[in-house]
Amino acid sequence: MSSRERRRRIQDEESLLSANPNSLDPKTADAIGFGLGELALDIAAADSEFQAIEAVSIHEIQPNSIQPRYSIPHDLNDLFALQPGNVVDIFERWIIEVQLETGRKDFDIVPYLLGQATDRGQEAEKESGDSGQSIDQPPSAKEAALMKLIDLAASIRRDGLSNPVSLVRQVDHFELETGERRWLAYHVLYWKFGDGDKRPDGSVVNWSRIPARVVSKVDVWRQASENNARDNLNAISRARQLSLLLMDLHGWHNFSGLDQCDSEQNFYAQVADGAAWRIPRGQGERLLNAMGLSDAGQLRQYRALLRLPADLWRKGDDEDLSEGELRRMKVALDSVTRVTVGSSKSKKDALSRLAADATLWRNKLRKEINSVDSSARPKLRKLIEAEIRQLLRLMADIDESDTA
Amino acid sequence: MKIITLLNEKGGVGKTTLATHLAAGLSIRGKRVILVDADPQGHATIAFGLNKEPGFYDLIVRNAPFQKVLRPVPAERFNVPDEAKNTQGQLLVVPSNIETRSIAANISDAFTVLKRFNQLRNAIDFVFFDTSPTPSLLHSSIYMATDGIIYPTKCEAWSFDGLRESLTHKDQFSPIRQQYNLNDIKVLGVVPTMYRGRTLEHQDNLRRLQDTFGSLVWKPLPVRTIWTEVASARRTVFSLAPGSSTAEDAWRLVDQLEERIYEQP
Ligand SMILES: Nc1ncnc2c1ncn2[C@@H]1O[C@H](COP(=O)(O)OP(=O)(O)OP(=O)(O)O)[C@@H](O)[C@H]1O
Ligand SMILES: [Mg+2]
Repeated sequence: MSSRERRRRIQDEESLLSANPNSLDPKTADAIGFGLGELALDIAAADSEFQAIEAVSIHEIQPNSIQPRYSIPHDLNDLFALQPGNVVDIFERWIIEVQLETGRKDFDIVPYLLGQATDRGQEAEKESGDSGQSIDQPPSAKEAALMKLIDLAASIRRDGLSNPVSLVRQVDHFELETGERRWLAYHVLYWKFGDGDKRPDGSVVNWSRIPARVVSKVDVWRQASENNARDNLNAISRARQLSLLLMDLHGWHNFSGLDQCDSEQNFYAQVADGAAWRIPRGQGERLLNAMGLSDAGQLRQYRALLRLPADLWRKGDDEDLSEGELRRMKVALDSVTRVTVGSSKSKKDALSRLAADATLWRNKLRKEINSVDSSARPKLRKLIEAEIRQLLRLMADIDESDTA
Repeated sequence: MKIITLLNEKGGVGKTTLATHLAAGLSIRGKRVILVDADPQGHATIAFGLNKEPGFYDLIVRNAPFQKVLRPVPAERFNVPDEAKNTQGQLLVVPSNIETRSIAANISDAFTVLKRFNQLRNAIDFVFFDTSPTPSLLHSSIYMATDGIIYPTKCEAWSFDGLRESLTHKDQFSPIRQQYNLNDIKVLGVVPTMYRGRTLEHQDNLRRLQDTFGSLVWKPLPVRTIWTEVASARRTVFSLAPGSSTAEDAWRLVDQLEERIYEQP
C-alpha cells in the first residue's frame, strides 16, 4: 500500500472513529462496543473503593472494636469503653496515673504538644531538686504509651496529618477502619487547643475535624497492610491481626462476635487451634505477605500467642513484649502453675487474702489522692471511689458463690 | 498489574513512540492496558486521535474517579484493520494537556500516583507512563509507583548523557523505595531507537551501549520515515501499515518486553 493510499483510507475512517463517544460509563460502555462493558464495571468498582478525602468530625467517629492494636492500656480500657465521649476522661485519668507513678505532680502534656519539651530527661532536669522520682528510672509502660501518643499529636500539629484515617459510614456514625491513634491524637489536640488553633507554620486548623477517606466496608487485609507499612505492631497486636485474617479466610459466620465473647482475647482465640482452622490451600503466601512474615513457623508462633494466659496477654500488650519474650514467660509460668495446682488453697484462704489486699490497696489509693495536685483531686477521687465500689461488688460476688 | 515507565531526560528519543506501541501491542494480545500521558505536550494523547484535556491532572490533583478521566481507544486506531473487530484486550488513555505541568506543585505526597493506580490492581494488567523529557517532582512520584523502566535512546554520543542522568535519578530512589518496602525498580531495557545500521558512528555507539548495559540492551529499532506518518495519522504502525517491516520491528519490541516481564528474577 502506498503512502497516498494509506492517507485516503485514514481520511475515510477518521470521521467514523472520531464520532465514537469516549465514555467509560458502565451504562453506555456496552453499547459503544469494543467489549468495554465488563471493564467499565471493574473500573467503576475500583472507583467506588476510593473516595476523596473529607474532614469528618472526631465526635462522629467510633473505634472499630476488633482492630488489632490497642491504643490505650488495658486497665483504662476496662474502666472506660473507648468512645468519643470518653476520650478526654481517659486522658485525664491516664495523665493522673503517670503523675502518681513518677511523682511529678505538675506533669503536663501541653509543653510536649507544643514541642517545648521532648523527653522526660529534659523535663526533669528543668525542675531538678523536685521531690520526684529519680530520672534514672525508666518510664513505665503506661507512661511510654502515653508519650508515644503525645508525640504523634505533636508531630501532627507540627507537620500536619500526612495519611488520612479510613472510615466506614454506619447508620448514625463513622467506624474507624484504620487510624485509631491518629484519631486519639486529634482528640488530644482538640482538648488542649480547640478549633482555630494556630500551628507553628502559621496555618490555622480545626482539630474537631480529621481528614478521612470513606471506604465501603472494613477490609482486614487493607488494615493489615496499613499496619505493616506504617506502624510497628507489638506481638499481641500481630496475633490479633493474624486471627482476623484467618477468620476472614474461613468466613466470619463461623465465629462469634466480640460482644459474645467473655474477653477480647477469647474473641481472637477462636482460631487458636491450628488443626481446626488450617490456613486454606494456596493462601499461605497471601497471609505471610499481609503479616509481613517470611515463614510458616512464625505464623505458628503468633498463633500460639492466642492461647496465652489472660494476664500475660494483657501485660504483653501493654508493655509491648516481643513474641520471644512472651513465649519464654509462658514456659516459666507453666512450670509454676504445675507446682501450685497440687497444693490448691481453699477458697476461704483466697478470699481473705483478697480482702487484705483490698485494704492495702484502698490505703494506697487514699495516699495517692492526697498526693496529687488539688485541682485534679475531685476527679481522681471520683474515679477511685468507682474502682473501690467495683472491687467491693466483686468481693460480694465471691462471697455469694462461696456460700452457695 | 504492572506499571512500566518510559523515561529519558533527552527529548525526541522515541519515548512516546515506544509507549504507544508497547501499550497497543499488549492490548492486541488480549491485555487491559492503560497509557498515562504524563507529558504536558500531550503527544501520547493526540497519537490516538484524542483531545488534549487535563485527565492526568484531574486524576491526581482533584481525585477524579477513573471512570471520568479514562478514554477508550477504538481498536481501529491500533489494531490491524481486518482484526480490529475481534480485539481481545482494551486500550485506555489518561489524557494530558498543559495542566500536567502543575501536578507536581499540587501533589500532597510522593505516594499519590502509586495510591491512585493501586486501586486498579484487579481491573487492569498494564499501565504505561509516557513521561516528559524535563525532570520534575512528578517524576519522583512516578518513580515511587513504577515497577519497571524502559529507556529509549538514540545512538548518538550526546544521547547517552540523558540516559546517564536518568539512571542516576533512578538509583537515588532505591533507598527511599526500600524504606517503604517497595521492590527495587526493574530496568526492563535500554532501547536503541532511530538506528542507522549502516553508519559507523551508530554501530560504534551501539557497541558502547552493549558494553555498558549488556543484555539490558534491546535489538535496535531502525530509523524509518513511516514513523512520522504513523504519528500524524493518529494510528499505530500495526493499524497503518500491517505486514510492513516496520510493523515487524514494532512487534519485536512487544516480544522483547514480554520476555523481560515474564522472565524469572
Ligand atoms: N525509529 C524511528 N525512525 C524514524 N522516526 C522516528 C522513529 N521513532 C520515532 N520517530 C519520530 O521521532 C519523533 C520523536 O519521537 P517521540 O515523540 O516518540 O520521542 P519522545 O522521546 O517521546 O519525544 P519527547 O521527549 O518530545 O516526548 C517523532 O516524530 C517520531 O515519529
Ligand atoms: Mg514524548
